[in-house]
Amino acid sequence: MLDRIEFILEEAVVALRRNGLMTVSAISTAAIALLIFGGLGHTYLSLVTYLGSLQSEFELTVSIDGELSAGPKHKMAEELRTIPGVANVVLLPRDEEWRKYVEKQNLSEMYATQPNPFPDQFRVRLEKLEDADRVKAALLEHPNVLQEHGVRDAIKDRELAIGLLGLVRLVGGILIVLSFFAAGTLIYNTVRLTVMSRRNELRIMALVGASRATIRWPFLLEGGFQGAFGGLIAGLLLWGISAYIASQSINWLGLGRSAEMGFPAVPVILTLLVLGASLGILSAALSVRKYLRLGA
Amino acid sequence: MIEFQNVSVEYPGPIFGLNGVNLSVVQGEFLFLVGQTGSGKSTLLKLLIRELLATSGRVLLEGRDLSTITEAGIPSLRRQIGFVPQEIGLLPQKKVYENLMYAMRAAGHTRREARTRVPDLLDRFGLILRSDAYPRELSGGEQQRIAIARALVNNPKLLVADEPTGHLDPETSLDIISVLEQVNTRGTTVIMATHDFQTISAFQRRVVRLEHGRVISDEFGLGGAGA
Repeated sequence: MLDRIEFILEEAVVALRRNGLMTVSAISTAAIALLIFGGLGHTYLSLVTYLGSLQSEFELTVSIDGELSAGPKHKMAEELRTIPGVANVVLLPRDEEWRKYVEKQNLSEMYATQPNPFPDQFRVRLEKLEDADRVKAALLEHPNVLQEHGVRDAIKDRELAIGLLGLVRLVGGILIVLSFFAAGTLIYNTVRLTVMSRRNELRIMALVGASRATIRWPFLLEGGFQGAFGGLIAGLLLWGISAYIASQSINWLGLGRSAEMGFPAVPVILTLLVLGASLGILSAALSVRKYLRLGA
Repeated sequence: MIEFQNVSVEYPGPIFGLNGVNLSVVQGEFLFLVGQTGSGKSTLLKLLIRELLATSGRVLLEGRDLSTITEAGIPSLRRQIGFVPQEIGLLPQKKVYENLMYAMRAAGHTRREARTRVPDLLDRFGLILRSDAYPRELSGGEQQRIAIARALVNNPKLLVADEPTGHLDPETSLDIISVLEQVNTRGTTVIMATHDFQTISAFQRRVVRLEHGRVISDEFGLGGAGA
């Protein structure tokens, strides 16, 4: 059994070396296809998570302008409660929010020791959604409320995220199908080229009675390797891109609005690797099925 | 051992590769299959290794109808038959020894089995001293010997050679037929297809002549029929 596996692996390595440039292009295309798939998939899941984490439509977040001591903060909370349409007001201390953020984003120790960029905030719950605009205006009239972006609601964010989800589904679906088709076709053709360039060996194998598995598995492994390697490259690229976006997200989006940037590296890379290998084996199987018939 | 019962093979056209062939070959026999190009020799041999299926009639090998063998069963059939193809097809990047090792391992033998059997085969065919040579460094006759040795890696009961002397000079052709006779003396049935009437006239063996897909004579020795 081990002897057979060894022979098949040797043949697969010969097949991979035989088509150097074609192998490289098949791996690159598989990597691009899986990068698109992984990137869109990750974006989609991030949006879903983001949507779930958005505050309730009945809530507003109010940032305090500057620093207030405990007494004035309580007084301010009382004043906000008196605004018509406000159901209740809860203080969100800045230190607590920063700690939660650092934990949630899994930021490094060094990052966590940076100065806290959060202001103290209040979560203001509304009695009715229709009061949102009126209450927002009333809140902004308070002298201790930060004027620019001082009052935020999640309604527009939610609408934007839902719109983006639809777009990602549509564009992503089309791109994924096209890129998988391109990668599959390239792997199919690369394996076909290997079959053609190894006609002699295949003829000998067929004549001496090599089993179908012995003849086919090297080609399936070739396709599987191309797909898996493409998946690995895609996973690593996605990891890098995701880490970069995460590091920039605070600058781009602002702390409170930054998207969920956590990247589950190992599961994503493993998924892309397995998906790539499956795509490669499937494409190779189709290629081999057509060109490796033993008899009439 | 082999039985062709009213076998016809029809190619698109329609052209008959074989047309109503009846032929029996017994175990241990040596048989020349002669005829001009297009007479149906290769078609008949391809039926034996199940590269082709008869359009009508039956081909039996040791009582088994070859048309009943599925794609999955073909490797097992081919391990019972040694086939020397028209094109020698040695792997140019492999040495003589490696060519035989490759065939044995492809056929399912372990590396250890191959390491024992390959030197035996090379010795038997007088090529032990050439085992480290590449095919391009061998003469046509030596290359053909290797192709015959390769066909014997599974120790088959039947050896089928399609025009093994096609590209060789008369002297080397005689040598190759002698090699096949040696194989036959060990009990292996040998069927050799050739268009070279001249060379085989030197051997007193059964000769089946084909023309336009039909058997036109089946006799012992050529008897000057087409020479």
